Amino acid sequence: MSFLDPAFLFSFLPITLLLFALAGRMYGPSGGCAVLILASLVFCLPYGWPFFAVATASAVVNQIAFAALVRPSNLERARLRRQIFVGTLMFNFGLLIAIKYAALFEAVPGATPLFAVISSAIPITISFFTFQRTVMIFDAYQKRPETMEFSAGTLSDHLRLGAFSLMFANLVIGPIAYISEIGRQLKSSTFGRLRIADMGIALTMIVIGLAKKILLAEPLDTSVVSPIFAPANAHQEMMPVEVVMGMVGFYAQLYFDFSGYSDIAIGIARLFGLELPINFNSPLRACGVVDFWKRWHITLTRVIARLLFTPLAVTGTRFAIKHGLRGNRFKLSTSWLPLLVNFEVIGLWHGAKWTYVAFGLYQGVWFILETEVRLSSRWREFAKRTSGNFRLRAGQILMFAPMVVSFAIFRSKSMKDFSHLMGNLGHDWLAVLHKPWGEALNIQRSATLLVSAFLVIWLCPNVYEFLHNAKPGIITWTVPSTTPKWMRFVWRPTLIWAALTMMLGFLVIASLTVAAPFVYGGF
Amino acid sequence: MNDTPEASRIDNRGYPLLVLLPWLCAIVAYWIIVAVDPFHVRHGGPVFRLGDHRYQDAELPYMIYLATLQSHDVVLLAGSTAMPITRDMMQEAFPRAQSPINLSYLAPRPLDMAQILPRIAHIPGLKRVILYMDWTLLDSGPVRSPTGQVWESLAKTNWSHSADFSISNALGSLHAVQSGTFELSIWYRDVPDFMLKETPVTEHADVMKQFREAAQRHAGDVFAKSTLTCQKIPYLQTVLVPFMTEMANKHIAVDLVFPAIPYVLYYYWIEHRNDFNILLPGPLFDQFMVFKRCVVAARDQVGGDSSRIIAIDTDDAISGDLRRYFDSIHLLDPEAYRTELRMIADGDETITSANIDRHEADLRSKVAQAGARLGTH
Repeated sequence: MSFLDPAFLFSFLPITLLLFALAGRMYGPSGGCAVLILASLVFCLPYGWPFFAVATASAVVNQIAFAALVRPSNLERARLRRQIFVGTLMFNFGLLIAIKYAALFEAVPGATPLFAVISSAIPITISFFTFQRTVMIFDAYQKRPETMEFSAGTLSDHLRLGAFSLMFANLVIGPIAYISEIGRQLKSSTFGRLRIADMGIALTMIVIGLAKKILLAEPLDTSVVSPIFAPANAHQEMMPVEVVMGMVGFYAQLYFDFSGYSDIAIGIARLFGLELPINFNSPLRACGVVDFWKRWHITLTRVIARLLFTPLAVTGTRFAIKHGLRGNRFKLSTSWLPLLVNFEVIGLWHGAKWTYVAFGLYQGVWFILETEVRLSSRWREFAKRTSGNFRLRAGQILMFAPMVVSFAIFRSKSMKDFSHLMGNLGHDWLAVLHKPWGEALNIQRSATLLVSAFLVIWLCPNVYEFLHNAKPGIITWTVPSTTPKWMRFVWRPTLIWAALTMMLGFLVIASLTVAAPFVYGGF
Repeated sequence: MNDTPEASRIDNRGYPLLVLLPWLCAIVAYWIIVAVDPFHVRHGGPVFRLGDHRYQDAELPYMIYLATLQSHDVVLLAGSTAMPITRDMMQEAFPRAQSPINLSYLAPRPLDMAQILPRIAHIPGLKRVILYMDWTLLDSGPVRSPTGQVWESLAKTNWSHSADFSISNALGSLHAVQSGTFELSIWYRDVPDFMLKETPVTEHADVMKQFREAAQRHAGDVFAKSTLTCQKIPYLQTVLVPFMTEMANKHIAVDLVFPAIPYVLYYYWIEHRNDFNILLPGPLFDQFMVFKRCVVAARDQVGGDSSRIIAIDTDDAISGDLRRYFDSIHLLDPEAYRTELRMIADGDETITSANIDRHEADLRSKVAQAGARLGTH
């Protein structure tokens, strides 16, 4: 069920809220958890029985494994725990590979069009819940204190775990949450009660998220991105200005689409009194690639960094020390290779395509180069001579074009398509001046849309800055605000903000026509 | 950080109540739609009437969808070139028609047609279908018009009513329950939205200058050959032929109409056209003629005598008179639409495989003369 579906917004959600409040009043937090689980099962149904089966089977397997890992009688049985841990990881990633990377098996001679069958049977990603459940297992294996709170194995514990694994708010496209972040909230004595203050904040976030998707991402897609990428992918000749607009448009579209989804998800969780981790923090205003990844898809970055980069870096450091590596060889072992693997996995996380491999490599190499530059003595001297604000603005400007190009790779269907797209940049840049009015008008309209989108991106506070007073979500990495001081509006429960949110609510509901699915639903 | 004045602060209850207001309205509207089911997404319930009005573009896809649930004996389906045709005009041209209706909408595409023509085929009481052969039907890409997208969603939607939800459809549903007619007065339009405030193109010196320049520049290549072939027009075999076969089997008359486009279009659109992806680059007189020949071949393939192909684009009184148009393709003069309909009703300018060469020669001559006239002015 899509968050944009009127049936979800105006039927499923209010009914679930009513049942949640009723169950919470009657049975406390456990009642609330039970309603969340049941509602989530219903939520899965419109995606088809195969998705329903995969999502619930994965939840059940992970929950059983989790319970076994934290059972007091098993805590000292290291071998058994390792077997459970490895077995569950194999199950999770085996399922993910079988479904998401089935395209790889197409290369096997005589294989049936497996990918087509699977992708039509399971039309939406399973990556997000697979990662969330995997981290849950990882935490239990590491005996993190928060997981030990489930060791009693009571019905209430199982309901809480089930609610965490299946909760529809972040089931499909994240944000990927940790059990340490949500477990205690589900146990809180106030969970299961609807709080009027939460409702106001939640609806504000949902409205802002819907506005990002419907009023910005959708028009950008239909007016700028698709009209340019579609002919480009068909290898038609294009004007350089069109190509640049398409690439820049996609950069903005993807941000509004995915961050809009995250805002809605966080808002929906807040309706039920839960705080999810924030996923975006003005990434398009980052001053470099290192800063960018602290602001973009934060909940995936932190999972990959924790489960992959850190172990690789630790192993690499041990290897370097053991073999007495020095200089660049030391860096290669301790940081560069782990970073490259980290970004390759982030790239491939989106699917089995060479463009994602290239995207990961591009980001990884850039990340290494930037890190090295920032560690150099020249940079330190430069930093002494210049103001922080200058470096911030210069970084923002310098980062823009390379990041736009990397997302054009991401958007292209193949590297050949990307090469063709970039090849168009070699054409006459002034052709736009001689083009007929019909197309020039299109370019003007698209340019207006792009300028509006980037004014929002560069000038407006993001939803977490704006709702700072209401503690809208869990912050993973604190990054400095780059919103101009004169635009740092802060939400208060005032008449003016209520009226503005209400008007925006009417606007998005009136515009809630047939919208395209969220881009990340396909990853 | 900016702080708002404390005086305007409302409490933590007032804020959510105001913010909740649009959601409450939407929930009520949603459940009205579910209860009334105006577009029969659950395949049942009463079929509501449509008011005898022209509707605003935003509502048009829904109105057309609803119209296909009703009984009509004469149906006109075209693109923007026939949208201004009213029910009264159709009634004048086809006096015996009981319930004619114009279902035309902006820029129809083959994928739309694949969805709407089968619906039209099942309209109760249907006797005649007038199908315009608009240039947008040459599209071979996987594109639907906005109207087609709405239909696709309506056809796919189920109990969830995700495709027909809107506040205005909810209000229309309430009105329908009350009066039996699905409409709201705010939907009414005197002319299609895209024609509002339009004036004859001859009053626009800049556009006329472009027409003249195009006529001068392309006098030599306006009739150049194109690479278009019938195989490159998937609409014909995938949509039109199956539809015509079904109509022939049901003995329902089908008129395939090539609209009255102005002669200047053949010059002007070589460079100035809004959508380069549908038509092949370069001259398009030949592309339009190939389209006609392919339609004639498709009609011959189906056989029978219930269908005709009518090309009303060689009448100097319309195609040669730019005062009757407001741009390079759309007629402004209501009388011109009446003439078009009369020509269709009378079967004037019917083209067949036997006379299409003569038709092409006639059109070629008129286009050349019009270009020469315009280019020397």
